[in-house]
This record gives sequence, structure tokens and C-alpha cells, in this order.
Amino acid sequence: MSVRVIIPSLLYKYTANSEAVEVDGATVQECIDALRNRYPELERWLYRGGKVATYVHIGINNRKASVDDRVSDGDEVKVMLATGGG
Amino acid sequence: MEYSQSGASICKEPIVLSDNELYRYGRQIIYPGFGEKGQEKLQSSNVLVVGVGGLGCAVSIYLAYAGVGHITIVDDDAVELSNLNRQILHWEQDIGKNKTASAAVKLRKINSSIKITPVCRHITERNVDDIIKGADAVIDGLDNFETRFVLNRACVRNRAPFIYGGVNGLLGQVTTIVPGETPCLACIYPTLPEAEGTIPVFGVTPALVASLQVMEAIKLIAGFGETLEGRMLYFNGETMEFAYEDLAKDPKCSVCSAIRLRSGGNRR
Repeated sequence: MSVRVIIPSLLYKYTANSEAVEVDGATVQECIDALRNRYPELERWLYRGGKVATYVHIGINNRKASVDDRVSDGDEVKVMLATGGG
Repeated sequence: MEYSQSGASICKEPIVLSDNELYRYGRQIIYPGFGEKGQEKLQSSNVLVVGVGGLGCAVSIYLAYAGVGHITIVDDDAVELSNLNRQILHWEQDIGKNKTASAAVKLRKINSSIKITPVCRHITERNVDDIIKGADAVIDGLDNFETRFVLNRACVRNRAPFIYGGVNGLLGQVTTIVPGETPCLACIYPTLPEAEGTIPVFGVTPALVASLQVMEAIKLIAGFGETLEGRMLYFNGETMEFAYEDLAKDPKCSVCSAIRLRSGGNRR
């Protein structure tokens, strides 16, 4: 399953300035793991304790999604940081 | 309402600083570009702090120390033991008290010459317009996006500058939203972010983010420096990195696109 992951611009420096990356995965989690495996420094911002951080906000084709959601070939997965605590 | 270059409302009531005030605030008055005029603007401003938790405590403390003339604090929660690692206006003796009452007592002791208005209410679509009425700036001290979206919509409707702050663990974010000029929170997050559950946090993270929020408010009100309008600042305390992201307006934003058309605002 080939999926396009949209990178938040603050992380371009970790993706060799790529704004979007094609990865393979059956779920959002697998896609983000594949992205991290290609660009390991993304872990600094997207993971906490070895897991995708709870503040990582996911969209699939502009609809809200979670890391457990399945993806389809050609989907676009958008990753954003959204810290809600105060 | 008249707006400064940065978009903040300009105070209407002329204020003449007393000798005592000139001395008290002297170390910030001598800052180039701020001066007595800047202090006068702070003293005649009304800043609303929504949420008196980790962010809101530190925000309201620094607003009070800076001499913001009227601070309104809004929260309907009571102080709990688990708040005391970060909510620095609430002490052991305050457990069980309303957060606004607990905070107001200390803020008045920090600065007896300013006005503190505690509002013990939960922000809803029904009451939010009344609560933010007359605010020169609204500072986000909330702990969830659902209420932030309610506040964002009200700030856009009322053209009130809104300084968003959020934290999770050692990570924090800040941006300044000027309705009609910058992207609003709904432009930035077209879908409501999921609740993060019980959010891990060290006290120093909201302390840092709150300091940045107040820095934004001071510049916005006094009309100097550059703010985070149209940019999100991220701080990653685990790796000690700061990062920025340029924000884009959503031309189809259900919250702010209409106001932009009316105002013709097109700064970013």
C-alpha cells in the first residue's frame, strides 16, 4: 500500500527538505514507522517512549484519523503537532 | 476599535504614570521601543486569561508583574493535589478552592494597583462572547482543543487577538492569532485534534510557554517588536530545540474566511 505522508514544515530539515514522502504501510502507524525508519531523526519530535506521541495529530485525505486507522493505496496522510495541554 | 500596527487595540483612556509607577516599571520602561508610552498602554489594557492551570497561572503572574491594568481570569475548576507540580499560583492550602479565587488572592498581593477579575465559569458557546467582551488580548490557558475552538470562534467574531499556547510533556507551542490578519486556529487545525488523555507535563514546560505568550501580549499591546503572527513556534524540551512553521490561511475556513473578506486583511 503506497501512501503519501505530508510532513510539517518544521521537520523538513530531517527529511532532506522533502515536503511529502511516499511510504508503504497498511495502517497510519506503519506509515509513520516507515517514515521514521527512513528519516530516524524524526523520532525526536514524533515519538515519545518508542511510540508515536499523543500530540501527533493525523489526517487521512483531510479527515481526522488515528494511528490505528487503515490506509488505502494512494491515500494522503497529514501529520501535525497539536499539543492540547495547559 | 482602533488597532496598532500589530493588530492590538490601542487604549483609549490616557494614563499618566505616577513617580511610583515610573520607578516600579523602570527596568522595562527603559527598553528601546517600549518606553513610558508602552507602559501606559499596558496599564490601560484588559487582558483575558482563559484557564488558570499550568499556563494560566504563569501567564497571569507575569501580566501582573508587568503592570497590565486589568486581568480577567476564567476557570471553573477547583484546585487538586495533582495540580501542584505546575500550577504555581495554587498552594497546598488552596486544595478544594476555586482556581480563580485562589489565583486572585495572590495576584492582588503581587500587584495591588491593578484590577483582577475572577470569573468562575466554564467557557461555552452561550457565554463566551460576554466573557471576552472588552478584552484587548485573550491568552489561552486551556487544557483541551474543544474549548479552544469555541474560544477561537469567539475571538474571530469579536476581532480579539488570541495567543494560543499548548503543552504536552516537554513540548510546547505558541502562535498569535489576529482575526482578519492571520490564520485562525481552525485554519491551522481543520479537524479537531484528538484529546490526548491524561497529558504528561513538567511545570517548566507551561512556565516557558506562558512566558512566551506574555511576551507576545506585551508586544502586541504596546506595538513594538515582531510577534508570532502567522507563525507557530515549537519548543522541544527533550532535545532542547526550537522550530518554526509558517502558517497559511485556509481560504475556505468556516470560522475566519468571511471576516477576512469583510476586512480585506491580507497580511499573510
